[in-house]
Amino acid sequence: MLKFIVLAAILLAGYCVQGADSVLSKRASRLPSCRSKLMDAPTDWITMEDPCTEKMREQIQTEFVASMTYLAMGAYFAQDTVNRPGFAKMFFESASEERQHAIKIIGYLLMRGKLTSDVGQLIRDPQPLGSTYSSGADALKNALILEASVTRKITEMAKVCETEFEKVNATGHFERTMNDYHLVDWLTGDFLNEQYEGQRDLAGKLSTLNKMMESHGALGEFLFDKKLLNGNSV
Amino acid sequence: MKLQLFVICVISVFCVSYATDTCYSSVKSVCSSTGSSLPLKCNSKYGAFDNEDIMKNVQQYTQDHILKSFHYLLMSSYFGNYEANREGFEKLFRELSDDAWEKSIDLIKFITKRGGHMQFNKITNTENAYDSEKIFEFEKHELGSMAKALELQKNLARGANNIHKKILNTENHDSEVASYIENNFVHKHSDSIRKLSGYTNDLHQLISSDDASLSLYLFDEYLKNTV
Repeated sequence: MLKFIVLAAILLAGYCVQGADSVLSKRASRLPSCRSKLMDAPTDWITMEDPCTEKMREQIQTEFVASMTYLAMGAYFAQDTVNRPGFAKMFFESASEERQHAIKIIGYLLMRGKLTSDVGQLIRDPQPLGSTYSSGADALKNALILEASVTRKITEMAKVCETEFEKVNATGHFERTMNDYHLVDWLTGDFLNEQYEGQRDLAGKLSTLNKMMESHGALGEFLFDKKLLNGNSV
Repeated sequence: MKLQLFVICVISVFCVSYATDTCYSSVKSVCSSTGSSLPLKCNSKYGAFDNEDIMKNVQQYTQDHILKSFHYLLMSSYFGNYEANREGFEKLFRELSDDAWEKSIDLIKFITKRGGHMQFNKITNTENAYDSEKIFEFEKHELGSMAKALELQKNLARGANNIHKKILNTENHDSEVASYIENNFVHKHSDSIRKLSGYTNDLHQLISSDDASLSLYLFDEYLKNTV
C-alpha cells in the first residue's frame, strides 16, 4: 500500500514538472530565441598573442589590396584598345589567388580559436594600387614590387610571432609568452614558399619579355601575350 | 531626275562615311603622307556602351559584386569560429562569396569586351549605389545572417533590373547586354532569393520550437549536406 502511495506521488510530481515545463516552452515558442547561448569553454588552448594576431589580421587586408591590384591589372589588359588577353588572363588568375591567400589566413585564425569577434574589420574596402600601365613589362614590374612588399610583410609577421615578451596574465602576474612555433613554421614553410616561387616566376617573365621587347618591340609583347594566353611557359 | 538621284547618292555616301567616321578616318589620317600621331579611334564600343551613364551602372553593378563577395566572406568566417561552429552556414556564405567574386571578374571581362573600362573608385550618381559606408554587424545569429543574405541578393537583383530597364528603351536598345544580364544574372538571382527566403522562414519556425539549439544544429547539418 505504502509502495503504491509513493509511486503515485512520484508520478504526480513528474506530471507537475512536465506541466510547468510545457507552459514555459509554450512561452518560448512565442518568443523565438534567435541567439543561442554560449557555453563556457576553457580558453587555455587559444594561445596566439595579440601582436601576432594583429599582424595576421592586417595581412588579410594586405592580401586583398594585392588581389584588387591584380584585378585592376586584368581589367586594364582586357580592354579592346590594349588587347593583351594573355596578360589579362594571368592577372585575373593572380587576383583570385591572392583572395585565396586571404581565405587561408582566415582559416588559420579560425583554427587557432580566433575571429569570435571583430570580424567586420578584417576587410576594409581594399582599393587597387594602380589602374593604368604603360606596357606589359610595366605591369610585371609593378607586380614584382607588390609581391616583394607582401613577402616583406610576411617575414615581419613571422618575426613578431616568434618574439617572446613579458606580459601580465589574467591572474595579475608577469609571464613570458611563447614563440609561436607552429604559426611561424606555417608562414615560412607554406606562405613564404609560395611567395618566393611566385616572385621567381614574375622575375623570369619580366626578363624574357624585356629581352624580346629590346629586339622586337611591339612584336615581342604581342608574341609574349599569346604565349601567356595559351598557358605556355615563358 | 538624274540630278535628284545624284544628290541622294552623295548625301547617302556622306551619311555612311560620317556614321563610320571616327575609326576609319582616324586610320586615314594616321596613314596619310602628312602623318599623324593622333591615336586611333577604333574600339569595340557600340549600343548601350556608347552611353556613359549605362556603363557607369554596369561598373557599379560590378563593384557591388566585389563588395558583396567581401561581406559574404566575413559572414562565412564568423560562422567558422569555434563558438558559432556552424559549418553549414559557413559553407553557404562562402559559396555566395565565391560566386559574387567570380561574377565580378566575369562582369569586368564583359565590360571590356564591349569597349568599356572598369572603374574601381567610388562611382557617384548611380541609381543602385550600394551603401558601402554602412557598418555591418557580422556577428549575427543564424536567422539574422540568413535575412541579411536575402537582402543582399535582392539588392543585386535590383541592380540587374536597373541595367535591364535602361537598355530596353529605344534610345539605348542593346539586345546583347540584355541577353547577357538575363542569362547570367536575373534567373540565378531569382533562384538564390527563393532559396534564401525558404531557409529564412524555415529557420524562424525552427527556433520558435521547444528546442531551438537542437533545431539549429540539425538545420546547420542540413545546409552542410545540401549546399
